[in-house]
Amino acid sequence: MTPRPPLLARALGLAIARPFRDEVLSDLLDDHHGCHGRRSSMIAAAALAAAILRSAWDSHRHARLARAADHHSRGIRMTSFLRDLRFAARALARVPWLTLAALVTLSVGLGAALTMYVVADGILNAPVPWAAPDRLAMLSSNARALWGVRLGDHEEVAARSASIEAASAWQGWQATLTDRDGITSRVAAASVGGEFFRMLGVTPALGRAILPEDDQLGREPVVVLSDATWTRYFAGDPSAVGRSIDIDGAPYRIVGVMPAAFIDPINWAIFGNRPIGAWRSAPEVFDRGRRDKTWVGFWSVIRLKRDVSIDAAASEISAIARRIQPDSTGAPFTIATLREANTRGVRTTVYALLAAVVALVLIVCVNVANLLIGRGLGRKGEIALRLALGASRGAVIRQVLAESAILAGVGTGVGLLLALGGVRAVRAIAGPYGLSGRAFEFDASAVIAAVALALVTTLLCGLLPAWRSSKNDVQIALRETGRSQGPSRASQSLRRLLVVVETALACALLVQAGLLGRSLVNLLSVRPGFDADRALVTSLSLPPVPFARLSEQTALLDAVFANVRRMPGVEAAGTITDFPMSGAINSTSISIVGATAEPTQTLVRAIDGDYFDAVGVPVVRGRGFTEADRQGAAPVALVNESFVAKVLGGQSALGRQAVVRGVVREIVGVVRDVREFGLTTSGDVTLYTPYRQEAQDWMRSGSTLVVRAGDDPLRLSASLRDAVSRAAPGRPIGAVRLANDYLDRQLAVPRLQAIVIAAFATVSVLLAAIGLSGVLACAVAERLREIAIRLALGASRSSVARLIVGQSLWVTGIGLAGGLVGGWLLSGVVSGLLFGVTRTDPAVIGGTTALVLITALIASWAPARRAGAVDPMRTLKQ
Amino acid sequence: MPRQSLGELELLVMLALLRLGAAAYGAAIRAEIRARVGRDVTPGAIYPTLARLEDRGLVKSVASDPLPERGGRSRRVFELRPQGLKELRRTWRQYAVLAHGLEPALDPERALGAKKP
Repeated sequence: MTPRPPLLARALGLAIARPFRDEVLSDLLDDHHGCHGRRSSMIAAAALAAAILRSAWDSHRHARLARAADHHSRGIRMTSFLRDLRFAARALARVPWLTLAALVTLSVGLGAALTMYVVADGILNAPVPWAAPDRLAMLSSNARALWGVRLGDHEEVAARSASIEAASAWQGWQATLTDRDGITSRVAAASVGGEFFRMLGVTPALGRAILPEDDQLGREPVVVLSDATWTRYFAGDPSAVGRSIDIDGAPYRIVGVMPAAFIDPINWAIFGNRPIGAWRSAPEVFDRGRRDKTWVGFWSVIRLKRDVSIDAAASEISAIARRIQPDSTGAPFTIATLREANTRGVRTTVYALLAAVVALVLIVCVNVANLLIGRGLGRKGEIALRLALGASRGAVIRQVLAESAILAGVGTGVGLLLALGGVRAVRAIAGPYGLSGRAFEFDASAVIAAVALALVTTLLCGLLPAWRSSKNDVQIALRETGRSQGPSRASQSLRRLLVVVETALACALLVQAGLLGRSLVNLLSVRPGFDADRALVTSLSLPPVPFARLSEQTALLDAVFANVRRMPGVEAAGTITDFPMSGAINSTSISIVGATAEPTQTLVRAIDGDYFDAVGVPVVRGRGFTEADRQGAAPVALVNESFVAKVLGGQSALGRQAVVRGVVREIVGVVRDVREFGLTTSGDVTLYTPYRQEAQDWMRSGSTLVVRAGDDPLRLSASLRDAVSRAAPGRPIGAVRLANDYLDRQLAVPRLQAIVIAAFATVSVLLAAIGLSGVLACAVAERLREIAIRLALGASRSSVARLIVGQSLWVTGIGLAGGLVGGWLLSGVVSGLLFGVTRTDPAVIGGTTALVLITALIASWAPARRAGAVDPMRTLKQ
Repeated sequence: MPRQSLGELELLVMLALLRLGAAAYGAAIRAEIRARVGRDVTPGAIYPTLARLEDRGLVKSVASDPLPERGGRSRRVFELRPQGLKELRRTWRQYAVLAHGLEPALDPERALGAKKP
């Protein structure tokens, strides 16, 4: 019986030189099978093992012989470049610490740079699913870049402008979709005109798009679904086309399904993570938009003619706008390419981070150059000897360049690996920053960027030392080497210059980090106007019924409120159409009866239950809504303090009458302001109406339920779901979130900016400190003799140490001055991200100065101590 | 490219190949050397040597038809190239020229035997 030779053989066979392993092993096994019959199995196995080991030994010996013979015959043909590389590799291996320092510096710097490159590329050049996207631009009203326009204005501009090829306006809202089983849910949707899909140059994956003939009043209402909606409601069944679906209670025939890759231009820009799920034909909406001059809720996208630049179009459209609205001052529109409009929020961040990356890469290169120059100084003798023995300058430069080529190559390789990890990390955390849809992929351009970086790094890091080394005068160098001294003024001042550059760059980054850090602190101290810690927020869908059947909705709401209020720990419950900071706008022009002022764009919110108690917004004057403010009672409204200040000029609001969407409402109370669009903007004019008096059907079809808990709100979330489903079967609520989440989302990006820039600044300060301390150490080593003479002539040790520290502070001071100026220039990039802090903030400048000087003192501590500890007798005898 | 004389094992392998004729497995070469010279050369030495000869263009190898009894695994057969034969002749001539007249010292048994009546 064979005692499992294959396993034994395979294990031992690993010792055989790889190229021959299989053949050798198979021959040995043949031998083994040929003779194992004659011996006992144990002995046979032992013999096989011995044979394998012997063969393994032989295989390596003979393979080495073969290699040696190869080298002998090929050595002469080996290109001098390869020889340079091999020589450089051996030279680098002789100074492992310096090599390691340079490699770590390079790979960390390049890794960070590549990561940021991929992220920036993913954000700024994300592929867009529209034809010729660079000719698409977005019009928005000047008041706030993300506000829509009047439909009339849009149509005037489209008709009069010579630079517009096609234009489309559409209107987005939160629709209530009802499926066959009567289950409803809220979906971001858009009412579009027939030219919408054609202007974007997209075709549906199934069926047809919405066509111009669907725009006529009285036509059958049709809808095009997004891929996600189609999957969710019809499980991807192609026969869905032709069937019907209810939108806000009215049936629409499904005519098409968009491909999964299609993105609505507006959901990309405005709704963030809420992709538009359905596009419907809605001639009545456009009809209303044409008649209602107060309605600015339309998105407007235009396609420019082929040869028209965005700037030319902008000035032409501004001129038209001034003609159609002669009373408004300045341009009533802003115009931006769609790409720009869609990356507006992150663009500045990306540029700021790219600037930080460029600074860091420069610092990395300077630091490596510094290390290599320092090394070049140390081996002047060696190079001088080689020059004396007949090496050409070119050969010496080539050899030194080869060293930096190896460093750059290995550094780029490791940096690429780090970047792979970095991009993976970015992908993992991208969700909260509204970037989850972006593909952060390594593509050819990233690899090309890496190669370009490696080349630039090689040239930057290699040229200076190579140039310096080869300029050495042979005789002087050899003489100096003999005396083991050589304070070359030129090379020292070059290295000092590099440290000055490094310090300046690090200092400039520190200024940015300080400014962003202070902005973050300021943001953290902003009060949103509502109590976010104890309010739970979720979405609630209500049956879409006309105002006449309001009782169907209010019965449901009453049941929900009753159930929720019975839950232990619940203090108040209410609803609002659009929760603050949820991104919804929902505004209209409101005029005051008896006032001569222009109507004012005002945010309108319909509320029900104890909404203000639930979010902790106090009523400061008058009263809140009561149960008496219902259908049929005198229409009332509440306004916020900014409304009083801006619309009423600070006069008393109580008893004044406001015209809201055609209804005259008496203002019965004033509430505290709430930040509606984020922490950085305040003073939005807001008016609240009672839900039960809201005649606009779409204002009532869905709501946000807000519940205030006495303590530990998140504990309530499961029982909240139960309570609502018992009161309203078939109307599941959305995700239950703490109101604080809305704030956290506001803070996420500034926090990330501050952290990333601070990380860059920290790394760069550390690198600068390493560079400074290296230069000082080198200076001390070169001036040992001078220092010894000073000491011998009576200088005190502390004065010698002060000499070194003084040199350090001198170098740092110049870098600091340059860095503060550079930091001020660089802060122009981040100025859009700053909040409550000016670019010349004294605390930031003071802090940067102190930090840099302290770092310089620490960096000079060891060299200064060494200078002070020089033994004059021993040094001078040497 | 400087010419390199054949090493001892290389010479043995090439002579065995010449003796075996058309084509031979590594195992057959080993067996031939063992049978003629009485030296047990391990496969671990044979294959690197063959690889080296192949690199130098003296020997070529061809994958043989898969052997049915070995689970279809294909093995290599080796063959002397004309260049290899030339090299073998050159090396042999060197030995012959140098050894000319030294037969009594190099091979006393045969030399003496020839003189015996």
